[in-house]
Amino acid sequence: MSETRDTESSAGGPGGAADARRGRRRFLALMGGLSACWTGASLYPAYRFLSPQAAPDPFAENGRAAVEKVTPADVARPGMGKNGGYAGRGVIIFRTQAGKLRAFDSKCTHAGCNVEFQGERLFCNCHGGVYDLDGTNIAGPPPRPLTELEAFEQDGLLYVARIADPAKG
Amino acid sequence: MSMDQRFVPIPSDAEDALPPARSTAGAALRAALRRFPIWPVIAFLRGKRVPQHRATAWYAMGGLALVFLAIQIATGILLMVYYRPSQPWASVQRIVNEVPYGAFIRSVHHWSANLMALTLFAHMFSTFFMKAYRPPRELTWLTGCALLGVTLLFAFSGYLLPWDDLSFFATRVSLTEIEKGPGLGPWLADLVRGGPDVTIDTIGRFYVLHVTVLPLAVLAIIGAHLLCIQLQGVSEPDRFAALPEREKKYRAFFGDFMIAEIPIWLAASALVVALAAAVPRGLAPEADPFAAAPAGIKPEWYFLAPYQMLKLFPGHLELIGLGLMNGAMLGALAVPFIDRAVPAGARGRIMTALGAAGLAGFVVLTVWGRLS
Amino acid sequence: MNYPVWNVSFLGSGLVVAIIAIIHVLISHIAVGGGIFIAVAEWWAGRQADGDRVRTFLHGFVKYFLIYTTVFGAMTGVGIWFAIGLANPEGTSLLIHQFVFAWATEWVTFIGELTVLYLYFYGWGVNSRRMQLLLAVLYAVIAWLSLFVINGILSFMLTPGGWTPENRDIAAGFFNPTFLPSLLGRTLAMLVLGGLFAMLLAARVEDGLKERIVALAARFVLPAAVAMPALAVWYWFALPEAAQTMWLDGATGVAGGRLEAVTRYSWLAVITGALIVIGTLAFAARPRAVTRAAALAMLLIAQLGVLGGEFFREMARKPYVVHGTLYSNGLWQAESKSPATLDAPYFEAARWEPPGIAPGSPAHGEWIYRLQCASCHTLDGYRALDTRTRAWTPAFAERFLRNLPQQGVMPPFHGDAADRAALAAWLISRHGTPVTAAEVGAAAPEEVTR
Repeated sequence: MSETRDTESSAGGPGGAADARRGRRRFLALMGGLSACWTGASLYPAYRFLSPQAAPDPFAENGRAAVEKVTPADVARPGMGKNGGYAGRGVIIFRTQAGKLRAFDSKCTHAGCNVEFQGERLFCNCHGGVYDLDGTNIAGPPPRPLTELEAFEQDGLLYVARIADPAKG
Repeated sequence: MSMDQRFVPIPSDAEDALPPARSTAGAALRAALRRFPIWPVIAFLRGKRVPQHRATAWYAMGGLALVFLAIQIATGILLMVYYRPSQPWASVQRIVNEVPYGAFIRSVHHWSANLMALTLFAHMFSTFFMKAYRPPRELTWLTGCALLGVTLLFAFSGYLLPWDDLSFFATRVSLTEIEKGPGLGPWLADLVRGGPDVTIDTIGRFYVLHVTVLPLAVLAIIGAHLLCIQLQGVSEPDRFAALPEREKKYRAFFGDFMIAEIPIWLAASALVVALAAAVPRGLAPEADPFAAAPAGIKPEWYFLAPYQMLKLFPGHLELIGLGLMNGAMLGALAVPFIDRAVPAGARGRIMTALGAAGLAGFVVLTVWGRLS
Repeated sequence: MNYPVWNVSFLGSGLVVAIIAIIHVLISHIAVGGGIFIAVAEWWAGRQADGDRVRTFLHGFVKYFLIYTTVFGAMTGVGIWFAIGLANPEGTSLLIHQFVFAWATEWVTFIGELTVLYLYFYGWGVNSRRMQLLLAVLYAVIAWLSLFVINGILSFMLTPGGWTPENRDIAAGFFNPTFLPSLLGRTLAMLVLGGLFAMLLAARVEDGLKERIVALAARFVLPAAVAMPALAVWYWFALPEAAQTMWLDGATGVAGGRLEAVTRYSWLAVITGALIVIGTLAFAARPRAVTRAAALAMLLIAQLGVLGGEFFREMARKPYVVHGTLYSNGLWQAESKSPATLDAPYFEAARWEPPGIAPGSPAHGEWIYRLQCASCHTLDGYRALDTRTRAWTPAFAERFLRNLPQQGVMPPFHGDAADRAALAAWLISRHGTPVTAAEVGAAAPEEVTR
């Protein structure tokens, strides 16, 4: 340290050694700050590596998705319902008293547990959220209705499709 | 009790060395020193110095190996995010073909591993020829040998993980060789493989070895290795030690030596990135335990010497080859207990000659193995 | 097809050009940046109490500089000329014909550079200080002008801008969309490299002066290096859309035949840039610590960065020599749009034809390879065809060659069915099972009708 000080005073630049040192320190701090940005940018590949890729559209195939773990027999009669899956997500499928097949994305809009079909209502066991059979949140913490899907049977298998989608099997 | 009594006073030599108390850095450092009285350690480290002589450049090797290890840890952690030991080949294929920059990060991991092995060989032979292993530095030498061994185990276990046909058969061959070892050989091979053959169970074992056991081991041994170096200082070659005191030149370790090392570390990192950009690591077809081994299958360069050695001793003579290899390894460990005299005596000269022969043998066998 | 070609096995002629060129780029950029450093240092010396010590350092600096730039710079520069003329006669001819005046200027600036540099070197201790300063500034200006000229031609190849083969508007071609970002970016790179080179020579200077020269050099490197990313972004947005797409797609692997080398090399440039900044900060924080090995390590990083940047630029141009106009293998884009020309027998229109080729013979296939593929692909080395055609069947090969542009970075095949069959047969036969052109031809129609 002391040697550096000596050389700087011998340089005899205008303003003296202390000024020069302060100037150098300020210059280094500025450059260090700016270069940190660059160093950060060079870590971008690692960031991209870790970023999840966009999830594929669950209905990419013919506008519909096959239902897993629920067969037509599971929802054959009014009042029957069962939890299943489609394209990696959860679905609750049941048959209403009127005999209509209905399906909702089973992820509760409150905290994400899968809801359960309980005859007259859809119930979430985690925090007691209650939905009616139209998927409307009627009691408990859920802030929004469930997302309805269009369910239909074809060749002995169940499928779901996006509700706005006019294309149907 | 007043505030000041709870704090440790700052030593006067620390006051001289620290930046002014009114600057931010000075205030922060003083606050830290008042709480943690570690000035004696810092003072000790500040006094550390590196001898300057013609072979000084070789002192960079250990630091370089650490840089490569750091790259290995960083890229290894990233690769673990997508690697699935239950679907080894498919998950590596996904890394290579689908994950953004996956192929790049995997190539960096591959090249850095190779350069790390290369640097460690250079480090070992340079300290050997500078005779840095002599007392009191036996433990530095032994931990260094252990680090080389652990690195080769890293390479061996990591090589299998992609589960392509090259790595499958290479691992099968190596473990069959271990099996031939007298006594504990078959038991050891079965334990490592997790059964009589290389299967998905072997992947589980190698994966755990590669990402938990060996990393813990390498960090512990490096800690011991570095502690030895810090406590005992950098060894001085005989020719330097024999100089009159005023002709000996030193550089401060932390002020000058390490600052000048930083660009060399950075250049090593740049080299790894350049190699990964120019020569990306490929992925061979998935291992098929029933198919014929692929043509032209060879071990990685650091295993070519033992590979060639085994080819030289066919049939029952194979045990001689195995014996020679193990003898060489044990011999390396025994070096600091055989050659102890400072300055080097007759034994020292014999040891240097043996080392030169060993290095020449290693290089010749490696090149021979590559070309044959 | 109009010229004999230079066949370099394993490396390929293009890579030979690239290797000579990246060395030349490092040297020539140091030649300009170092020149600016000399001029600034000469002025700086006049403000120092020990100005003569600084000038003595500069004298030593210029000695190395002179040897380095004249010997290695001139050798590699002329080397590029030899190599590109052999590797790509069609493209070289186009560049010469379009930029006659620019090339002439380039040679004049080069001679001017050398003259002034010699005057400066031998004027040390003879000329007045003012004269020396003037010569140093003059050198820096002339050297920078040589960059100005060559940058116009280099950036033209990637982004010809308003130039077309028909209008031959060389002003529009010279001052093209990437001209300015490229010129400014290269100028910054020169300041970085000049500063790093000065640090290398300062490492040998005695203590006291060394610290101050390193600090001066750091003021060259750091601001320029830190400003570089902005120029890189500007440059990126000036690139042809095809190149941008290629870069973006290149982030993910090789699936679907995407070329990710362009992306990898660009990151090599970015990362080496960051490493240079970090290393220089270490030097600037403790100038006394600079050693020759450390300074050389910094120049190694810079060389790798040059490799990354230049390879990125070259690969972003694929598959063209002049983007959108002339393919790397000498096929004109305009010709490739006309089926009558593109699908005519390859050797029919050729002004130079290899002697004695029997149609459908292995020699026929090999010459098609040499003239159409070898500008980018070797057989068993760089971008090896042997690896790429390992799984080829006659039917697949025939269909693949007919649809080459679907690969994204390949020009269309030039020639008729017989040429395609000859090439496919020759390539497939290299894997051990001989196939004749007739067999490939027979496999083709079956594939079409399916």
